[in-house]
Amino acid sequence: MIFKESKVLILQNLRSTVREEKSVKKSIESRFFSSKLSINQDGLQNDFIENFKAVSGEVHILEKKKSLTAKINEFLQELDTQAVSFWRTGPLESLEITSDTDPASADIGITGVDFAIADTGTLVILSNTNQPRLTSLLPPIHIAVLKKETIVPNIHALFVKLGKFYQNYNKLCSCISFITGPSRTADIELNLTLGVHGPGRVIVIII
Amino acid sequence: MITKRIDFKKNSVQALANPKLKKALVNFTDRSRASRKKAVSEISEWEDLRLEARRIKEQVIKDLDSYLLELEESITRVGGKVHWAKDAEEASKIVATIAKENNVRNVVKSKSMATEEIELNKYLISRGINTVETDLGEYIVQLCNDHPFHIITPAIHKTKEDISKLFSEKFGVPEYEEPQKLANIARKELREKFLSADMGISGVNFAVAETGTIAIVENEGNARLATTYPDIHVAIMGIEKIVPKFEQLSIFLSLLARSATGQKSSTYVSLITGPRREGERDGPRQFHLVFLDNGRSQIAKSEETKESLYCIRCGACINICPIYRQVGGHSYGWVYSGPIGAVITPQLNDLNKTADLPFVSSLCGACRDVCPVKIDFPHVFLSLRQKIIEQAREKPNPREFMEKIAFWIWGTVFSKPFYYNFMGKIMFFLQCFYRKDNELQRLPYPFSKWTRDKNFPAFSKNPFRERWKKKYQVKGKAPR
Repeated sequence: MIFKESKVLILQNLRSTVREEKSVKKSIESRFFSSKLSINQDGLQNDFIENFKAVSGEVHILEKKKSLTAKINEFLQELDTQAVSFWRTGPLESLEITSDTDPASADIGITGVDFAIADTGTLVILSNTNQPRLTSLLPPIHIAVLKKETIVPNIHALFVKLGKFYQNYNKLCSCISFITGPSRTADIELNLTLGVHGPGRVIVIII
Repeated sequence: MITKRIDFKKNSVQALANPKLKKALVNFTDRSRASRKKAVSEISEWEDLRLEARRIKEQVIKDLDSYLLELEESITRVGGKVHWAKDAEEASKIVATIAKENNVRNVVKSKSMATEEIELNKYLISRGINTVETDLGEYIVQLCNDHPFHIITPAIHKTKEDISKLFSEKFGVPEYEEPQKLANIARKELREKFLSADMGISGVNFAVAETGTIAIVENEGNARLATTYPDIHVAIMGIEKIVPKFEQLSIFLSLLARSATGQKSSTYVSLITGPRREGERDGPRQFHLVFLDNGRSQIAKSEETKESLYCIRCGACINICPIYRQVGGHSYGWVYSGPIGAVITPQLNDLNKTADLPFVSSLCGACRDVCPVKIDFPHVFLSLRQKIIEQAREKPNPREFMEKIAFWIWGTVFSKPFYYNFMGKIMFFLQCFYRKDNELQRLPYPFSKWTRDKNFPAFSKNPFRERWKKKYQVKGKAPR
C-alpha cells in the first residue's frame, strides 16, 4: 500500500524546519576511537577469551597436531548426539562428519567466524550462500570455529575492517550477526537465564 | 493514541500503595544503575563517544528530509521496499495490507517501541492475523493483557510467582518457580510459533542512510529468529532513527549496550541489508521498511524541544530518575515512561491530555547526565511547561489571577528588608494557632495544600538576621 501524500507531507513538514542559511547536508566523517588494548594477536586472543567467558561463553584452543575433526568429534561424543548442522566453508571444509541435519532439528550447529572483537568478546558472522544464518541460531548448542588472526581490538576497528572488506559497503551481505555469548534474558525478576531463544551454550574453538 | 487525559497523580498514588511494586522498583533501579556505572567506567573515551553521537544526531535531525530520501534509495537498491506512514493508523494499515497481499496468517513480533506506540498487535489481531510477541518480557505482558512497564525490561513488575501461575494456567504445566524452567517453557511454546510464522515484524534501533542497513539489538535471539525464519520481514522505524554512515554504528552500538543494560555489547546485534540474496538458504524473501512519522516531523520543527528526537531508547534516564523509582512505568499513562516518556508523550499526543507529564520532574538533571546523546531534559521540560502555561493563558483563569496577586505580594515582601522583617514579626505572632513541636502543621486554605504532605518550620522568635546583628554588635558594624 502506498500513501503517496504521506511522503510529501512528511517531507514538507521537515523542510519547513528552521535552518541556518544555506545549510547543505555535510557529510559527517567520524573520528576513529581506540581503546587501550593489546595490539599483538596473542594479547587480543587473551582479551577475547576473558571477555567471552565473562558472558558465559566457553572457549577452547585447538591443540597443535590435533585435527579440527577430532576435536569436534570429542564434543559430539561428550554431548552424545549426531544431529549436527554445519557450514562447509573455510576450516570447516575438511570436516569429516557423516550426518548433516536441518538446523531446526539439530542439537548442534557448527559455523565459522569471520571476525571477533576482543574487548567485548563478540563473534561476527557474515551471511552468504555458504554461510546460512540459522546454523548459529536454531540449535541449542552453537560451536564456532574462530581463526586467531581475525580477532580485532574493538568495535571501531571492526567497522574499519568491514569497510575494507566491502570496499566502501557497496556489496554488503544481507545480514551481519554479532554474537556475544549465549542467548540471555533477565525478564523474570532480573534473574539471568540462558538459552531463551537462541543457543544456551556457545563454544568457541580457536585455531 | 491517548484518548483520555493522563492523570499522573492518580496513577502514582495507586502505584505507591503497592508494596510489591515498590520492592521490585528499588531492586531494579539499584541494579541497573550500578551495572551501567561500571560499564561506562570501563572505557576512557565515553565522553568523546557521547559528544560525537550528539553531533551526529543534531545533523541527522536538521537534514532529516534528505537522509530519509537517501535511506529510501539505499533500501530500494538492495531490494527492499519503503513505506511512508504519517500516523499510527496508516502504519498499521500498511502492515495489514502487506500481510493480506501475501496471505499471512501467523506473525511473530520482536520487541519494538514503535509498534507499541501504534498498537499494531491490536490492529492485526482484530483483522484475524495471529500476532505473537516473542521477547520473553513482552510475551508475559501480552499473555496477561497488560502494558510494558519499562522500555527495556517490560515485565519487571511481575514476580516469578505471577509468571509461574500464568504459564500454568495458559499451558497446563506445573507451577515451576525457577526462572530457568519458566524460560524453557516459553522457548518451547515460542519456537513452534516461529516455525509456523509467515511474517516477522521487528523494530529498528538504527538505520544507515548510506547503505540501507538496519541494526537490531537484543539479548534473547527472538529478533534474529523473527527476521530470519519467516518469508517476509517488516521493520517499523520512527523516522528519527537514522545514522548517516555505516561506520558510525560503532559509536551508537557502544553507547546503547552500556547505557541500557550495562553490557559491553548486547548478546545479538543484527545488521540487515535487504532481503536474502540469490542462492542464500535462509533469510526473508521480502523486506519492508515502514517510516513512521506520527508527530515526529512536528517535533523536528521545534528549536527548543527537537533534541527529544536524538533519543536512542536506552532507558538510562528511566533507571536513574528518582521519580520513576517511586512510581514506576504505568503512572506515565502511555508506552514511554520516565523522563523520556515525560518529554516525548506530550509531543506525540494531544498536549491538553498529557499536560501533567512535563511537570513530572524535579529538574534535578540526573537524566541529562546519563543520557548517551546528552539530551538536556530539564530544558525540554521547561519549554514544554511554558507551552502548557501559554496555552492555558488563552482562556481566562481565576487561579491564574490569584497566583498573580500572591506572587505580587511575595515579590514586594521579599524585595525590601523592612517589609521582610515586619512580615516575619507578624508571622511569628500569627503562627501560634498552628505551631506544634516547632513546626507549622495544618495551615488554613490556601496554604493547606502545602502542609498536607509536609510540615513547615516555624518562624523563630530569634531569627537569623537578629542573631547575625547581635554577633557583630560588639565589633560595631555587622557585615551585610
